[in-house]
Amino acid sequence: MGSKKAVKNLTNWKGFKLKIIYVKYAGHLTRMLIGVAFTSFLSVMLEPFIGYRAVGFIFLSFVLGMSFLVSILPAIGSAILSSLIWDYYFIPPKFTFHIEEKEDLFMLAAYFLSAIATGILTSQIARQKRLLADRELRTQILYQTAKAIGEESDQNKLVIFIENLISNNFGFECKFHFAQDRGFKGNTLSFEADKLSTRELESAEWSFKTGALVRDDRGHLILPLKGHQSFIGIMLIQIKTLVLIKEDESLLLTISEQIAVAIERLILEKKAKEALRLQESERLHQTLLNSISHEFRTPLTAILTATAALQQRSHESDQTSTQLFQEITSAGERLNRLVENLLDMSRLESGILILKKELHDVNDLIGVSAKGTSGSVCTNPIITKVAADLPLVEMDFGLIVHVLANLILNASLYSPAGSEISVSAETNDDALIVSVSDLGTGVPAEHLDRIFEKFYRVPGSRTGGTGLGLTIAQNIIELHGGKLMAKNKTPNGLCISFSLPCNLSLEKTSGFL
Amino acid sequence: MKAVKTTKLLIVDDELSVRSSLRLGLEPCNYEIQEASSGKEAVERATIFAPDLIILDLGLGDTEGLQVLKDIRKWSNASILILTVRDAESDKVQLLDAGADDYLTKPFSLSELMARLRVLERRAYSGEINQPVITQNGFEINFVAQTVQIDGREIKITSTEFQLLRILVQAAGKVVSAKALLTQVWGDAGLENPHYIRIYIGSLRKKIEKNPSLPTLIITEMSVGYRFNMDRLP
Repeated sequence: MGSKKAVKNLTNWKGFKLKIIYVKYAGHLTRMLIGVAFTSFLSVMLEPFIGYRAVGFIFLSFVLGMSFLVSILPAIGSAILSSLIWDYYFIPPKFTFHIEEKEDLFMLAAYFLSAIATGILTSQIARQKRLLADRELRTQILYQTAKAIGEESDQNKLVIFIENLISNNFGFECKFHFAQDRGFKGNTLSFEADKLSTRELESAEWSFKTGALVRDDRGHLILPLKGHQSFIGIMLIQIKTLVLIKEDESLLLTISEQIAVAIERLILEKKAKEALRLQESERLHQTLLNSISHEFRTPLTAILTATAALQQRSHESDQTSTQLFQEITSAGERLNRLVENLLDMSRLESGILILKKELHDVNDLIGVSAKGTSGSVCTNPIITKVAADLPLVEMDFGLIVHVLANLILNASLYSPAGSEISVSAETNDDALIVSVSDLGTGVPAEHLDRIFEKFYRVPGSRTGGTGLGLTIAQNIIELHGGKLMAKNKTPNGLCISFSLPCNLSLEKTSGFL
Repeated sequence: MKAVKTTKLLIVDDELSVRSSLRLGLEPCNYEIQEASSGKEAVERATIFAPDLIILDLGLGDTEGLQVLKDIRKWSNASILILTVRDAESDKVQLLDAGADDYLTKPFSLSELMARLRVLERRAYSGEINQPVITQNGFEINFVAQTVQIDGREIKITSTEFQLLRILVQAAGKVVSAKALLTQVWGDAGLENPHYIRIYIGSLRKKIEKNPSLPTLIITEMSVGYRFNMDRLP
């Protein structure tokens, strides 16, 4: 873990370290001096009863005890200091460092060696113990983190739990800040709460960009929350004490990594749930529309089939009934178109329409659209002008067919019987342009920009339209990122065209196999 | 008078009005007609009556049309024509996969229905078209020599294009799903690249159609597949 991160130090790190050492040892030194003073006092009190040699054992017990409380250097220090005091105050001749008796000299030497050895050994044992306790605490914290991640499905609760866990165990204040857009592929940084100061934001940005741990000069530690796919935010810790040992730093990094992955998972789960709900509502909507359209179509089918059957059985010479049958048929078909348009409009306006875009042949588009309008509705001959070597174009085929069929139908409704309708397709820079032109009267200039409006019908135009066809067409084309346009032609006629974005380089992909 | 074998036709629709108007329209075509108004009844009728053709509406009250189709298909060889509504396009492929022979979208014209039924009827008696040469309106395909002629002039055609054309012509009048074409011609690779078929059908049309933008031979059945159009069936 340590090798991965590049620690950015915003302070003069060396000076900072010296200060730490000073603070740490000042405490130990005080403890040592108080201890020595207390032991000396005790020894002075007891010396008349036990003799100056036994005092050595009192000092030895003191060194032993001290070594549990302080680190190794003060322990050795107290060994040296206590032997000097013993020699100076207690071993005769008193108040000199001089030693008369050889036995005393040996004893002092033995005392000195055993005090040093005791000091070193004991302080090492004590250190081991502290390390073990620390390690156990860290394991405990990690365990609790993992447990919380496993059990908590609410993001806010999880965050609060971890914040408390860290502040209870380390005494640090810990806060999570999440990027607004959850950092998903976004490079800009905007945090949910603007509680961060400019400096903090700067550090956060740095941490966010590099994915590294950042320490600033005011005791802030900033850890990036880096999920598998994205950065989701930062963890801001106020280090109150000046010391942060390597192990704690690693621990915090581990926690931040686990939390990041867990929260990212929660976010993704939430998104998946939302998507599912949307899908559900789309399905419901679809079912509703399907059943409505089924209810409308069934009687229409009966009417049209029965009419056709009657027409079959009647005498062909009967001019009047033939005309009547045709009128019933065309009224039925018109009703069908109206129902379809209303359903399409409702589908488009619900906003749940999902385009099924695939690469399609433009010739095929024209063919299917023209076929859909042939028969009793459109009797005008259709002329096609399609540029050679058009690429396949990405579109929702069904919807674009619907648009083009609508345009052809419109052209036939508003142009003289038997006049040509021309359908052309070409590419221009990065778009496919499909146009439908008729030889009708066109649309008066003042109405031209209103014909795409819902239910808008040019005053005085013949019946047959629903006022919805062009609105639907415009909606579908805009969903594809294209544009629907209308213009009058000279000398007469109307040309409605639509553009569809297309990637001309796709043409090259057709050279397979 | 020559004895003509009448074709037995079963009409399955939950709407009485649709059933009777269909009966009214189809009776003059010499069909022996029976009706069923529910999925359960449809399966029963199909067993007792043993129809050659079945017109099956998808929106039945009691069972899913798809289930009825599967139940009948388990043992019956009758040609099945499905009636559906426009919005259920994804179902159409599923229906063809489950053994439907063709489909029509409501509301449809009676003449279209009669034409489809004629195709299925012939198919029911003769199976696939197995003639070595098929001609129509200046279009001629020779399966033995692997050649295609338009107005007596031979056209150059790649082997993949010929393969596609052969599958379509042999099923003339009947819709062939894009999925079936893709797997038959390209194998599994085809399914991952559904646009292959569009490119090849496009280039095939440029060679055999008088106007590739308004095709008359290879007709696209939207979101399902393609149909080879034959005025006169062999």
